[in-house]
Amino acid sequence: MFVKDFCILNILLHIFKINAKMVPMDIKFDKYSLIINGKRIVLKSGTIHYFRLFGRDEWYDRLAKMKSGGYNCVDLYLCWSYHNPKKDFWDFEAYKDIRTLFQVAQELGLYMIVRPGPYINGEISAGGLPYWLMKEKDVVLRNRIDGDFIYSKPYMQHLRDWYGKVLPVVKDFDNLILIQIENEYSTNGGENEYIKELYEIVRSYDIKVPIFHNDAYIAGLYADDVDIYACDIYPYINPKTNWREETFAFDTLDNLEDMARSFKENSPLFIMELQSGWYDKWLGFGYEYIREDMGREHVNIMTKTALSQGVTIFNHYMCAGGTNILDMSSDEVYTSYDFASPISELGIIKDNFKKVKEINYFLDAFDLTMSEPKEADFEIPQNCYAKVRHDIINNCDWLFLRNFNSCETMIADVNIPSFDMKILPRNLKLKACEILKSGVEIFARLYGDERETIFLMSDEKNSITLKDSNGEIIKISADRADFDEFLFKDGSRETKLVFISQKCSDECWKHNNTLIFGAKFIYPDGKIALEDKTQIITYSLENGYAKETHTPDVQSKRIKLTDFDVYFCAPEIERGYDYSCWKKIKHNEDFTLQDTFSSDVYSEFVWYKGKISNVPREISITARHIFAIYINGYEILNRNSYKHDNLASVDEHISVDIDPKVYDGCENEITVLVQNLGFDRGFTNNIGSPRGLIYFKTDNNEYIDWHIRGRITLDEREASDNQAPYLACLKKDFVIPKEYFDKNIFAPFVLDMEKTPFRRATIFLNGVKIGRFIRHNANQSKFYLPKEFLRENNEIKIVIWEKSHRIKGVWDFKNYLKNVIINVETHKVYKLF
Amino acid sequence: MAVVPDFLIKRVYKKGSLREQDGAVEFDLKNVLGPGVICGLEYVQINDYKFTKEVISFITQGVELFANSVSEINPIRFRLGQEGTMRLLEEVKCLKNGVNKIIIEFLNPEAGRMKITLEDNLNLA
Repeated sequence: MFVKDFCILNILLHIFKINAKMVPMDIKFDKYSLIINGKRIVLKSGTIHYFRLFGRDEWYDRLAKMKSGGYNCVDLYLCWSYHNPKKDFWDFEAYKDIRTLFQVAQELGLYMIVRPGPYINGEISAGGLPYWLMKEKDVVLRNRIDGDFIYSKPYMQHLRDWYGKVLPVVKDFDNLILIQIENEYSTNGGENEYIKELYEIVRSYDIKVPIFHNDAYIAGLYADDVDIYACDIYPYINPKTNWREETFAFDTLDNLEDMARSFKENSPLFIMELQSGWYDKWLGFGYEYIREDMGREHVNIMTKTALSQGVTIFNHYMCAGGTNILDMSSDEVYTSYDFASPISELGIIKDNFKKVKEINYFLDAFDLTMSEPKEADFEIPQNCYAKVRHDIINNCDWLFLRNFNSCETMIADVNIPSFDMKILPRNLKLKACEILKSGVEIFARLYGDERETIFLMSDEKNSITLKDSNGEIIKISADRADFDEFLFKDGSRETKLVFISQKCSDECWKHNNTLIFGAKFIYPDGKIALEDKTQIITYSLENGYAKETHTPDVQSKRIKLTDFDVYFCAPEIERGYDYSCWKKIKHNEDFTLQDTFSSDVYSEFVWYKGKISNVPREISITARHIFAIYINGYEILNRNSYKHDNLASVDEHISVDIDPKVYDGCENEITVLVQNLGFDRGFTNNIGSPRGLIYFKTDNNEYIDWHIRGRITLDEREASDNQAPYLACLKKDFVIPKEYFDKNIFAPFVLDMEKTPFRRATIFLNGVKIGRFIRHNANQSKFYLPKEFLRENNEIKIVIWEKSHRIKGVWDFKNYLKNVIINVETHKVYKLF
Repeated sequence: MAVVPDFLIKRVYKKGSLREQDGAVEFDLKNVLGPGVICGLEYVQINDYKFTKEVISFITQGVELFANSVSEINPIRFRLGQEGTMRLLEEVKCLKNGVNKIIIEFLNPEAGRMKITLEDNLNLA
């Protein structure tokens, strides 16, 4: 009785808690900005993919870092296929619990932009549309075939089911600020019925926030069908080209205000996806390269150029990277989805985050929500860009100066380094002085009723000109040491200017009205993270400077895994394996195969088995993407057939000779194992192209009575068989010391495959598939072990699907695998104080 | 084939610009969409006649770029607001009174092979 009452009480408390917070925001907007409960805001948002970050702790960590870095909003795609992998089966539990995710954002005081698709792209397999939907009768995905609009009622009904699962949850949260319908949608005819219907569906859930769509073509698509026009801007999409040379890619951003105003005059300028990183692909360059190539300059230029165009709602895509686990990724991308984003896949603050933090803190310092473009009264040198905006609220001008020359350049008497951009005030009145002109940027501002301290970025080649309360003009060189300060007084009012260097600002964090110097990161609850012994300096208006030294007492950790328990798996390869219960699949007249979906097989790994005569001497095959052929347990071919060209994977059609020795009588068995790396993400290509075995033809034109089944089994197979040691599993238990799970320790662990001899492997941590290792296809040898799946006592299983040609026998192979060395290690260790 | 909305890409074509001039067929383009890169000009077809890359050139900002030399290493950079003339240097009577159909196939390093179908209404009388 007591327990029952207690449960009811808990439920009531939960409802009350939600309802108590449910004070709907009054969200209005005009041409300048969003207006929340009467107050204008610049929405500084960043994207995380909760389906690539796992569980409350990781969500909290990434969102807390965003909040500390000055973001006030998080963008969340909702991924349909993640929650609805099978028809009529919905999963919102554990690390798929979006209510908990929203609660974390709410607790941290972050607004939410929610994007429930149905299509989300995001380099997710099939763009986030569930696989089962592809074979539903009369369903036309996104009401579009080859760009032509074809309305499908059954599709709309399934979509309504999806919206019906998530929108009631979304509606419960008062920090919801904007909602997006569809994603980067277009048709050849520009039909808008679909977008209009989605708008009505969202409104039918009594969701009152502004609705928008993101136009990938910046052509004004659906501007009249939504409340606010938004677009995506990605000047960097090809790491092969040098963005510092191909600067014309910024043309659209440089002209955004004129373009967007022509589409919708009376809504704020809004870039839904403002590039702050880029994804790497199979056969790509690697994230280290992309990160270095983009540097901190790219996000600096992107964000400041957007602000120069009057943008007051921006969303950095992505803000935090993530990991493709299970079968989630599209065929383009590998396990790491670091995205070279400001917060890395492992949750590490990177250089581009530090630059974003600078911009966000500056935007907190002065209200830039109402400004108008103004004619520049100075010459703009070649390859440079300059905008002047008159700030209606602060009654000053802001200069946005950008230099695309390979050498430093003077613009408006300010020295701008190569590929840098600055936002500089002119005639900005402060409490006790006025900045007449400035060649130095403002980092942050702390203010009280009578006093303020403004932190400026020191700059050896520029200066700042001020007028004090007596009207005296003072020019101050910005070539200053850290914490050099200048005090101005006007009666009881006081303005203090403090210079800090780039290095100092990188590790400076704003917490309430205090600045904390020297921390690797902080959380909004005031905890500071350190890697080494560090003297932390805090500064507040009330107390000035304070110093305190902390010494972390946790070391990095490396756990060497060797002496693996090795067993051979995948008995499916064996001749005589019972596949009678597998589903039949048709071998068509033209030797193509029926798609796997027709047999309800949606797995990354698909087995094909059938009888074959002893006649064929050659097989021609096309399979997506990696496959092996076995006859009577003998491997005929093991092939990585993944090729990528112009944004799409391309098929390889190859032929292989058969050694007649593999035949054994007239009842021979053929087995084909295919690993597909996901479906197309569907932005420009067809989502529904089949996977698995696409084409199979023998030289004697034999039709095979194929049977199929999905998934790779980790079942043990007799090791005495010396015919087919092709799939082997390495198993090892390991312990992560308890201290690394302490809530005051942040220590992401990785599994390092670099020194292994394998070409291909699939990694399972405590039963969860957390990585695909394909040595020659991806620049990734270290795999993140997500905290959600990591325990003190762990089991790692690595399935190797290959064998070195140098190793002949089963036992050699087993010994070779057994003695492999793989390290599990901390990437970084931070202690929170 | 990449899905790029037809109605958008057609905005690049300057209506009424299809003409015969100095033994060539020409028409004009203006980039009103956004910065673009063309790394291959495959062919241009006007009504039933297909012009191969050997006879195609693109004149922009005073420079004539020949389709044969356009590649990923030597692409055409077509900036926002930039104008250009597509020149098909072959003496052939392919224009007609009324609606003329123009097909351009080109390569973009990100979107792959793309095909635009355009129409222009001419009064040749």
